[in-house]
Amino acid sequence: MYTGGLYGLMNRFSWNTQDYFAHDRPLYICFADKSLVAKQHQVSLPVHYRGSARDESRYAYTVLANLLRYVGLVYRAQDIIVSPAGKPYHAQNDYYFSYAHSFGQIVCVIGDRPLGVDIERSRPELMAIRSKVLTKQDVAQKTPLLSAWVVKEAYSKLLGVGLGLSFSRISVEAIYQKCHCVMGYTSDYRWAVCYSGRSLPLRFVKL
Amino acid sequence: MFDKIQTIIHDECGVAREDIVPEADLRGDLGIDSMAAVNLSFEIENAFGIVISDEELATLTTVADIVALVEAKQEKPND
Repeated sequence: MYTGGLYGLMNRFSWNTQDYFAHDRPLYICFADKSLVAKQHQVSLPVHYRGSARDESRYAYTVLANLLRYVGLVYRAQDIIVSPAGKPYHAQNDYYFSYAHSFGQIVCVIGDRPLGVDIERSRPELMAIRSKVLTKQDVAQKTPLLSAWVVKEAYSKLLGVGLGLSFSRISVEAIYQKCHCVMGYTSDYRWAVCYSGRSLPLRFVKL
Repeated sequence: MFDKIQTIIHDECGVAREDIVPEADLRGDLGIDSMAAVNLSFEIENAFGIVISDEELATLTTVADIVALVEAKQEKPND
């Protein structure tokens, strides 16, 4: 269990699941490089997982386990199931989580409400599909293409609709009206977290 | 049909041809993420002269799904 700083002090009380929800916890987010995650003890993967050996998402569950341990919760592979649209979630909704990866960068976020996260770096194919990503409003507001992508992808994960969200039909501004969205940068990447309900702080956790 | 789609997936997503088999899962087996999937659908649209809606894109899980969709659209070009 991580014991650094204020969060380390709080972790000593080993919150159970109800405590975690009862005090309006922030969202906890962890960014990690795949090479660093690979050195950690790898957790069991959920039964639905069928990724190949090169699939980076396998590392996301190790990051998830670390995040859960940080807040005093326990990761169990058997608790994770997947929706018909492919969204993994805790069977009893003891916690909500979302993860993403892009070129070796893994990000995972946990919270007490539905959420979605995405991370991406600029790629040639993004320009090629620009017309499928941006609405006229996005263009008029000069929304950066990469920003639009991560916000819309995070929102689609929040909704749990996979590729069912039509990016070219919903603007970033419209998404801001429907949920809370936090966007940020890390080295060459852009990331976004979308979540429902009232505004919450976002706490960064180091792996 | 399959060979052409296999070539498109290989060229656009950098996946080895031997891995692109009908039962291959696009995300799990071939590592095709959301952005690559949208780009792939874009290239398939251009290659076959069809339109793939966002709803149809969401249903594509395997290579066989792509082949079936393209075949169906070519049989009924107005759909």
